[in-house]
Amino acid sequence: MLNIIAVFLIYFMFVGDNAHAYLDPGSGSMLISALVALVTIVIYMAKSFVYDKVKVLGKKSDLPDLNREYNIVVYSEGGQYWNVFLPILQELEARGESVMYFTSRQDDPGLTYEFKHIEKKFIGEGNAAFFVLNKLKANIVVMTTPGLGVLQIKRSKGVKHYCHITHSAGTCGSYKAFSLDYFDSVLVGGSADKNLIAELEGKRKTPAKQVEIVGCTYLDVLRTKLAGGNYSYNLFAEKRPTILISPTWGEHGLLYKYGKSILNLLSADKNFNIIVRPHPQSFTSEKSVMDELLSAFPDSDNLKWDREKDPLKAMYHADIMISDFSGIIYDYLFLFERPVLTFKAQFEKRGREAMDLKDETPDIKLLDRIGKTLQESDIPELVSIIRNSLSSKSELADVVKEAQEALTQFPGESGRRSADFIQSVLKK
Amino acid sequence: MLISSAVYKTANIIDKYGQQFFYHNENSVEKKPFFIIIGIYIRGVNLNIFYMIFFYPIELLMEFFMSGLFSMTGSYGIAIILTSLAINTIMIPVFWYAEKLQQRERDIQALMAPKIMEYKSVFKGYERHLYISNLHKQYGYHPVYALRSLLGLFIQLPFFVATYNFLSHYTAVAGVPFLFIGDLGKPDMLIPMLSYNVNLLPFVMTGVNLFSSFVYGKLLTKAERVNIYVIALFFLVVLYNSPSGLLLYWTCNNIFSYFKSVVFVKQLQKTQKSPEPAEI
Repeated sequence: MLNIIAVFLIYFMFVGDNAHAYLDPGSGSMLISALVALVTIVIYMAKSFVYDKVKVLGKKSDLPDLNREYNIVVYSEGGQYWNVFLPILQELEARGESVMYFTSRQDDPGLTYEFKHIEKKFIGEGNAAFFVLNKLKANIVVMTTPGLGVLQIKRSKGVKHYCHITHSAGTCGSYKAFSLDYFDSVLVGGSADKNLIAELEGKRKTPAKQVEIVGCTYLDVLRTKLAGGNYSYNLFAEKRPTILISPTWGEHGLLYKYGKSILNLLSADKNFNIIVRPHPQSFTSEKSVMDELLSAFPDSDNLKWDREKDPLKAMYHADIMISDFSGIIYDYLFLFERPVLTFKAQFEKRGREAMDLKDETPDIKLLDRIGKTLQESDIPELVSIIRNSLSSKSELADVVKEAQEALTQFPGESGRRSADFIQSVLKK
Repeated sequence: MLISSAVYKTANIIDKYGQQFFYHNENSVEKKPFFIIIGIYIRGVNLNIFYMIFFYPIELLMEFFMSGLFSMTGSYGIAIILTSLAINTIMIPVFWYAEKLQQRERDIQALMAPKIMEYKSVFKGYERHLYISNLHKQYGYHPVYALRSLLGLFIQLPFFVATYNFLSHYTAVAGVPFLFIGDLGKPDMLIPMLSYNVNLLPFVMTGVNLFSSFVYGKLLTKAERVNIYVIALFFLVVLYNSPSGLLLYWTCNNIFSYFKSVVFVKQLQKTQKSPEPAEI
């Protein structure tokens, strides 16, 4: 359409009743390019203006003191990341550092946690939170939110150092594009993310970040919980090998695509117990599919739906997991060292960091070694695949050890190592 | 023909309206729609100044070539052909510069295109806008840079307009025959068809033009190629009734333009390289 308009514009520009100019092919193409460029620029500028200026600010009462110069600011999008920050906050508290904990959710457990040196404040979500973060003054800001300087959270001139901490034992390959490019430092679980970030920096020619391997903070919290918790057998009356179906959400997720056929097959086999644990987001994003599955496969003596916040109980009971590319795979692997069957082919690389990497990331490669990677055509054979995987799970220990180096080093030390790093940045 | 006639009439109406709007005194200057084109209108400024600065010197240059070459060859037809060659030769560095600018724009667009397509396939609305903006940033690009190709055009514009103005008012060629053309000051009407005489030169010019477009088109995207073919056919209609002297000039111009395109395509293909993201 734009091209047709351009041709007519040329006509009106160069043609009058007694004056004609003429274009040769090169110039004509040049003129069209210029006109298309002009229209594109106008549209681009208009979009930028609308997106930048038309913003809704949150309640004034949620605003923290933006003239204050904070020492350490930890920003959390909500309670789902509380386990990521807890070990770091505990360590910084013990060291007497002054910390401000901002959260975008009023139900964040961090708001009610007892600290001496750590202040806590709800700053609203969406644009209200972006407004605060974009005007902040601090020595260091630590957050799990990716896309600094790309999405809505921009680098504030008043912040001296931005530090990202990863929130999964998988790699940043599954993050969206440009997620970490404009951070000053990144706290990662293992060598895989360190190598991956260096590769992206080389390709995009972005400045080199400090990448510190600290381990996985939230896994340390789960480890502590597991050691002190009571997870005695009470889910099923009869003890049988238990399968945990624990996929991600969305239309590429396992339950969305193959839920019916898999549950049909497994629930009919009374030699297994089955726990179905959909991603919490599935009950919002694909509610009709979930409702259909819930009514077709209700709780029974060998099938239970698990919607508890804490995934540990379900993981504890399971002898094998079936998933797709959800981060819970790695939690299960590193905490329990049990096999995982995955539908890996569904991983959508487009728009993610993985798209710009030469090879597949170690977390994706690992899926072939911690259990079979499946395709739709394998579903009829699923029962025998599960039996084989359960009988060969002793080989997993070596794989897990190797994977720990790449994905989650220093179990139990992540809080201390993270705090050490933050203090080293402050000293500079 | 009906459509082109309707478009032609609409253009005239817009042109007349533009003239009333843009000129203080309708009689003070000859009608020059190109002022409307470049959108230069400042109240109180006599537009003759722009004409004198940008177009008149080129018209003088053309007159110099025409009269000089006529006195050397004794033929206005040959003088037109040689003037076309001379102007094209003078314009080579300008064309080359403009072409390089446009090529640079095309190169970077081609380099970013796969990522832009990828982001368009997975992101929507504001998110898509932000990802594409960041891609631009990493390649050291801004959509405003697309104006680089406009600069090349601005350099060429005065040549287009001055050439036309000069040749359409060059009374010396009125009634002068050349080869099979009866009068260089009038449409050729060389092909008798029923009760009409169809003009031949516009078709010759368009044929050359399409051939030249085909060669030049190797450098372009499919959409750009379609554009230039459309333009070539479009001007067949627009210039159909022009004096044959003007059509002779543009036909020669297009032949020289063809050779120029052959050389440019070779040179640009030699120098094409893949730029990388800029240092941030």
